[in-house]
Amino acid sequence: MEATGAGDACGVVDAMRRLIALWLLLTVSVAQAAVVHESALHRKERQIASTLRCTVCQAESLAVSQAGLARDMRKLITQKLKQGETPAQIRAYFVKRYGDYILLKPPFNPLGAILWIAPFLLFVGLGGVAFVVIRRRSRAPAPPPVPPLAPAEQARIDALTRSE
Amino acid sequence: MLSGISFNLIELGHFAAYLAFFVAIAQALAPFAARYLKNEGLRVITVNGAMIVFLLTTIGALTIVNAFITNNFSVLYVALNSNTHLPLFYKVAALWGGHRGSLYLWIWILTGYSAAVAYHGRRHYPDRIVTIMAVQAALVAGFFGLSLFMSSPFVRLYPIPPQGANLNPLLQDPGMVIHPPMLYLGYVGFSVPFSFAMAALLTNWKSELWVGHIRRWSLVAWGFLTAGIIFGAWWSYYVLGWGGYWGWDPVENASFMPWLMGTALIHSISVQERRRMLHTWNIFLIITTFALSLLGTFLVRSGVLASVHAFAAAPGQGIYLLTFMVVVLILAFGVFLAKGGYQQAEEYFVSPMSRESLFVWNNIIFTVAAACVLLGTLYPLFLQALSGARISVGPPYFDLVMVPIFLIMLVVMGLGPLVSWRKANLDRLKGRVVLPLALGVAAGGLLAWRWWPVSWTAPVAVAAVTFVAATILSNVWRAVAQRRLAQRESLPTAFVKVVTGNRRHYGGMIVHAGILVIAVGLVGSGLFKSSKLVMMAPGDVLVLAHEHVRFDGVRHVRGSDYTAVQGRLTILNTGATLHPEQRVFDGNPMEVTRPSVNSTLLRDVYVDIGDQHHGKWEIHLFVNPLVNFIWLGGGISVFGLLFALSDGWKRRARATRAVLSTP
Repeated sequence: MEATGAGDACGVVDAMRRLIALWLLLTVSVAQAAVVHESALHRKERQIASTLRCTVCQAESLAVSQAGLARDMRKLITQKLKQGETPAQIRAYFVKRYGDYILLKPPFNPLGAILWIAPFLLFVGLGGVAFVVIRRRSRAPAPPPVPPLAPAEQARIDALTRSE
Repeated sequence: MLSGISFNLIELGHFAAYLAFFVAIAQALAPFAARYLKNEGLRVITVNGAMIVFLLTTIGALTIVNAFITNNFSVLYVALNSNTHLPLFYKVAALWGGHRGSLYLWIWILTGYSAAVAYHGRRHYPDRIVTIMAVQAALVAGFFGLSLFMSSPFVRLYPIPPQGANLNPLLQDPGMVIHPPMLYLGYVGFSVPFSFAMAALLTNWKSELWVGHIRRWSLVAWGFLTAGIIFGAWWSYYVLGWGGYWGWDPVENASFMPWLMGTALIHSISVQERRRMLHTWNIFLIITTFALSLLGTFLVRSGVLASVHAFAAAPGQGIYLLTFMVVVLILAFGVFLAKGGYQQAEEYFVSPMSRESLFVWNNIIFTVAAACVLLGTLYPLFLQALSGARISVGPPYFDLVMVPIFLIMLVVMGLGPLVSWRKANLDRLKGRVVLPLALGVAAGGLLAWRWWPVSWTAPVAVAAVTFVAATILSNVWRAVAQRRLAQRESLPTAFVKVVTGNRRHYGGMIVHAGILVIAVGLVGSGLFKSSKLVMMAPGDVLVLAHEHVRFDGVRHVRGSDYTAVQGRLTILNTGATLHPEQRVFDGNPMEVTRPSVNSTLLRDVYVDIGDQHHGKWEIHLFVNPLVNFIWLGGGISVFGLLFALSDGWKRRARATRAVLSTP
């Protein structure tokens, strides 16, 4: 019962949708098209915002966040750009107020350095170990003798091989 | 009818879940009891219990689904995540729409895997199945404890609210309905190799006898995890409205780490099968992969991470999960250290230039990748805990660190299949590498020349992709040519015979091809995307990447459980229309943007609509090239995986026929 009701409602909505679409098409096509541009200021603001963290959100950048605070901070960036500050100055301002926390890319300072060094260390460390092991093993004269299989295991292997 | 005395199905489910919990405990303890009471018969409980636990857990899950369908708001979980207006489809999916239910789904899947392994194992490895099942049952019991005592989906409410809240609006999307089960089937699937490895260590089970089984279980888990991650990216792209699909969010990372280690594992296992080496390393990988699955669960559910996905959870759960994880890992690595010596390689490397050593390099790169993601995800937490200092590790960091790693992965992926096992013939290798390498360099150069100036990653990535694609094609071509020469077959016959004759190898090659397609999609959408955010009045036209898009106006629409402001835009180049929405769901003040996408194979036009100011609307337009390649590549990869797995079905069918035909 409920389902058919919903279906009817959908049909009506669909019909209305089509009517409205037609109306929009007619009214709009006669209007003169005006090409809009994104202001350079706006573009710069978004570039800066995408490198900063929204401090009240869950792991989102200022550029993406819908939070009120993020909006205010974006406005602040625009304001500062209008006053002629460079992106670096603006970032520095935010770091001074909120600490390194606001930077989505951790800085190369005593606290953040490990993040930048570790990938190389890991690669060199693990790669070095692998290199040494492979070289040593490949030069080893012969592998150690294989421990003999128990009769039951041998029988099972035979059974499996037969079934193939 | 007497008020207050009525039987409610949800209580049956609650009872069944408790029963499952106790049966799981009995399963885990039965082998010990069998040993101390000197009654081997008790071990049967461990194996047969798996099926019972699965059935009981299923009853529990069905009663929750039933509570959703019948709008039983006396159940807290239902009241929080559903209401009478929610479409039926989402009512069923709401089972995993919140923390409590999705944890229950996790357990349900775990019991499903256990039952499947029990069924499979009774025929194929009856002597070890008891230990495997005991480990699985211990995991089941551990998670049931968390679910039943700390976040039970069966908790009742009184007084009963007349109407429920709503399922999180962001989750009301088909992509989100598929994403969690797929992801969990992947995460949880890696518990099977884990239990096998534990059983092998505990009972001195020779690797050669079990590695073939876990290869298939690992491939299944890896396939689900891959599909789950792709569906998650898809959902993020089509629902969240930020124009992207992967944000290096901590929870995305939590699913990516087991994927990386799982990828290392499925490669490393085949080395063990072929060359009887890397035994202990494989066990280490198995434990680590499962550990990262557990870690992911902990990170998502404990509330320690700030993430878009994090569930609001009580602090007790975090401590429970952390304790559980630490106990599991200490036991696992303890057993590994104590008894790993038995699982030793039977053969050694012959030469540093061989396929097996390239597999080792593959493993190292994937391990480094997983370690980097782990570091980037956890380091801020540790830093804050230890020194109180707060830093953020966001997408700019991961892009910079991971992209070079991905590029190295691509190159190794191309080289690996060219090099022969044991010892490479360098002259032959040179002949196989030169042409693909030249093609790759040419393709990269062409791209740099055509789209100059461009970030260095684009030409390098395209060169690597072309190189790998050429190696795959030449690999197939050589095999086909050889077969034609030997069998005098026509080209299509020889091709089909070659590819279906070695499904494992060519399945793997198809997966590689899928990864290449994904890589092309990532390069296109990551490096060549463009976007504009502008205020538009009806009739205005915006030009972006040769697409002329006209804003036609807005209207109000009503969905089943929301109202929305719907914009209409026309792409003048093709006449296609876009309908982005700003939705307000019933019983939830939050505004949710729902983007609209016009897709062709080569590019997506993607648009969001925002607030209105003075008759103008905020329009965020993106042109994202090649996004569809990512979904397409995901599909190809999963197909390749199924093709590789079909090898076993074929073999089994042949074995059955052979048995039937012998008199």
